[in-house]
Amino acid sequence: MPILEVRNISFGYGLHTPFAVQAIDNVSFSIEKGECVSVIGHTGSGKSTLMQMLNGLLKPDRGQVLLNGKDINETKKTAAAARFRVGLCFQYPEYQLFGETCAADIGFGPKNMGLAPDEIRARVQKAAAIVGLPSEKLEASPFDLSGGQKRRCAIAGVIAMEPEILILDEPTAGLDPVGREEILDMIRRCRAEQGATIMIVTHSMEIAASISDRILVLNKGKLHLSGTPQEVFADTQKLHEIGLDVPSYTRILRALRDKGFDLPDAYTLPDAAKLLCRLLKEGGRT
Amino acid sequence: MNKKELISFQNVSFSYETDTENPKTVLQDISFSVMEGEFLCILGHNGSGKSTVAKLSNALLLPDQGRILVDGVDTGDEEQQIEIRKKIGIVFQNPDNQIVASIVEEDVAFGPENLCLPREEIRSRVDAALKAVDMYDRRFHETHRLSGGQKQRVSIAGMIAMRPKCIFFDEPTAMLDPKGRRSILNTIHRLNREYGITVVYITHFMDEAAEADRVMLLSDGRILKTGTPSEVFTQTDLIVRCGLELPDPAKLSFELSELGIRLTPGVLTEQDFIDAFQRFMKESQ
Repeated sequence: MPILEVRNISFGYGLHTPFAVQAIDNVSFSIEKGECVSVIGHTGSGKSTLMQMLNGLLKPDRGQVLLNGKDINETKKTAAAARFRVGLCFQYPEYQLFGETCAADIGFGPKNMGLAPDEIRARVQKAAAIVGLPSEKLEASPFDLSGGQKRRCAIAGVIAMEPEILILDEPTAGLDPVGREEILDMIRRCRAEQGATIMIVTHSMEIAASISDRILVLNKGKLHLSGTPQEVFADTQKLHEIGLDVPSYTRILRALRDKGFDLPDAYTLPDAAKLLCRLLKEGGRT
Repeated sequence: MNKKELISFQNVSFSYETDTENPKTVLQDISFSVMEGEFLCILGHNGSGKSTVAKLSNALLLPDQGRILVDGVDTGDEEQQIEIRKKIGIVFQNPDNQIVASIVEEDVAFGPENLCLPREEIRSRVDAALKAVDMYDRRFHETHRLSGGQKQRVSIAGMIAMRPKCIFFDEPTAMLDPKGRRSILNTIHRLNREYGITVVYITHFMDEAAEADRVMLLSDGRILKTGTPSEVFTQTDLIVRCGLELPDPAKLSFELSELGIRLTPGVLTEQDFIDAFQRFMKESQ
């Protein structure tokens, strides 16, 4: 059984007003335990609305969200519980930091779950270690951290609730390359060490390709494409239709292939470099 | 460009928290000029001192050492600071922090109103500014219903209505999606070309710097290099050391060089890479 299953959900904002928007329109997909899935789409494609329905913040107008086979909107109680079970980390989560110390901030979620102080402390330590926040920073004010550290501290606040699914909305937006790599490393660690199930909303094809098992492409509230990175990036035509494109490394390899070089597709920097390297060793054209 | 110097940094140093035991030095003895009418891009990673340069330029901050001249006037001259701020405007990163009114045209009028201009003058400046950023059709819209890119365009219009000589843009696209980024960048280039406004564009996106007249590379409070985009961008080692992001084709070329394959230096675009790779294949056979 998939850990999360979404069945034909729809959601509209401001229905019965002149500003009515059908944000999500009959979307279905499922996610297996331990998977990492990226959600891609332009601004206004419905990504954030979709994410908020997955943890019960928004209730779909139609359709169901099943967590371990059970509808999260069955009762008010199950919807509230879903907020702890599906950890949603918004865009620019560092703007939501408020604790006097990093430890207090990270511990806020667990405290609201009604956990014992010892358990909270242990979870704070563990979450800080997962995101790579040095333990001596735990007693510092979150406002004294660097941009990348603030972001990771805020994410730790969600991880400390030990959700069954972790959803990160644009986790690397606004960070410089170093900060971005730290976040991507953190996600890889979460997967390797915790076997975490993760969903990532991103604008970057490269990030989607390098980190996820599957990609969902949203357009105007509908699921436009979905599949493994290979499957999604094979359908260039369908990506172009909605103004998206394959990663630039893929474009370069395909252009070289058109010039007669024997190269398969690749979607990430290391894979593209490896392929080109091998080609040089073999020294071959077809 | 043999134009007039608009802003001149002369051996400027600056630290935050100078009253504590560990002051944080942000800028160390930097000197550079901004020429009237140019499009200068300041590139640097987070914490390199980019934003401090902007705040020093219109006397929001004052240097610890050295001096800064705007149109020949020292920013330390308190009586002139209001005048300096009229000449040099700053647009910041987060569109939500810069909108003060609930209706688009009221927000743009906020600056001119504070300059105590006559009503007709405010009206004409607001209309002109909104047209310059393509938001005139939405002048009666509510600001909170706009997209991030539209909000940022309104912020820019608010700045234009003040009629500054020069605008600093401090990572104005950092919080926008690729479409919004492109539209803001086009707007800023148009202001520079058609309205003659001097632009200092601060970013860590190299692709945004490619169309500037000059690029200045800032790292840990020092200027590492200044020149045309192609002069600066070909220094790939320097750029990687600064913690900046190369364009993807340049990254691929850099990655290959780490694996011992050295293509012709200076790969920036996808076409560059394809050409360089073909050349390399031909020579190695």
